[in-house]
Amino acid sequence: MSQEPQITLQTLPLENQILPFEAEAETPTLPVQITLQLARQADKRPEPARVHFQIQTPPPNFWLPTDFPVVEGTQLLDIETALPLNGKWQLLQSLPVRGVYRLLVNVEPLLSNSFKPITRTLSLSVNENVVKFRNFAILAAFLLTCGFGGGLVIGGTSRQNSGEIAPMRVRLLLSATAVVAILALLVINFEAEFAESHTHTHTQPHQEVPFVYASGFIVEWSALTQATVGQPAAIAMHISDAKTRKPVQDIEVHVRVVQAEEGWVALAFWAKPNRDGWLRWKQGFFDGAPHRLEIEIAPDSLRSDQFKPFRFTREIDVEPVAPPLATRTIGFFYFSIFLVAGLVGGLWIRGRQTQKDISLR
Amino acid sequence: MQTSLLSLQRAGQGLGRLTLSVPIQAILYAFLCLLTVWTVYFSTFPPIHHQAHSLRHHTLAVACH
Repeated sequence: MSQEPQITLQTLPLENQILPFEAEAETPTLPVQITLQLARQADKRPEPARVHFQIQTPPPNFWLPTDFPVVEGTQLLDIETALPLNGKWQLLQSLPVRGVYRLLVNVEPLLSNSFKPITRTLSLSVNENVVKFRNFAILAAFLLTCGFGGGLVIGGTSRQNSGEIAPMRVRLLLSATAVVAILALLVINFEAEFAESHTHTHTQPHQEVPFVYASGFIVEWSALTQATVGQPAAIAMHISDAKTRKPVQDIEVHVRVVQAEEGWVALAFWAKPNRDGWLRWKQGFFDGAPHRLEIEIAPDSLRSDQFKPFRFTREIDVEPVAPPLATRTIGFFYFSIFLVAGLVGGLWIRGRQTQKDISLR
Repeated sequence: MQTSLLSLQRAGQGLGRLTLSVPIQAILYAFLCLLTVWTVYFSTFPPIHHQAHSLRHHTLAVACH
């Protein structure tokens, strides 16, 4: 009986070193390289096989949402392709949030019954970026201090003389806070108006030609030009011979999905069309901005007439989705606790001092 | 006429005292601070969202988009 093949999955960086995609990073985050290896024996070429590969994002955590809550618990990728002859298939995927991703791998033989289909569910754990914890701690400390300072000053007003219209310190405190708030809002709004506009430009849906003729092929492109964050977008292309109109299989398709404004890679993979000439995948977009699909079609090593690879691009405009109010409110609730705790602490200390003063008199 | 003016004056003084009482001052102060926090970290108003975009993405428990 022949030895059943095994599948192994490796990531680069290693699993415990993977960080989620960092939006607005100073240096663009590199996508994670996921390598799937189908192996029979160390010295033997694996059987021709087809893989169905899916990635599910981590389930939502209501009490501690991530910065991309809309894509939590959704499908990030769903693709089917024949494996390369050496059984090693690689893809690059940006992982948007922390948590445990579920990877579903299903490998079937291309030649019937050459091995039993393999189904595996794997998990991939992604740690949160430490910077976020640091910034949270800084903000919490700032809010505690603001609350505490405010409590000390406001609590001191109980010692005001009767007939005094408004204690100077209160007026000063309120005025200063109001001025800070006004300045902050002014700066934000003025910069928003006059700074070079960050363009999450919503380009008009392109009326692109759904066909590409090149090197004797016709590539028919699905009409998708728009997608929405959190909803996996179905993308498909059909490759056929321009003369015979028959589907072509002995080619390789290299796909790179790039965020068009900032140039980072959301997804990149190698694939082959199926027997009917179709290459289909579902992709979850997590950034609401235009994306560019860069596609290169090249002959595979077994093809008799080797042609020069050709490239084309397609634009997909991704509609952003604001996180639900409840998701935003939970973070706000935490910040409020820090401020109120500081405020109550300040008032309490001031109250104790006042009681001491009175008992000393 | 004089009586009504006096009662108005008293009401005004009462309101003033209430406004400057410790609980109301504390509430006003907290509201002002928290409004600023909401605006910077959670408002969906596009220009503000954009300006605070990096900060939001780099702070734990802040849902950006």
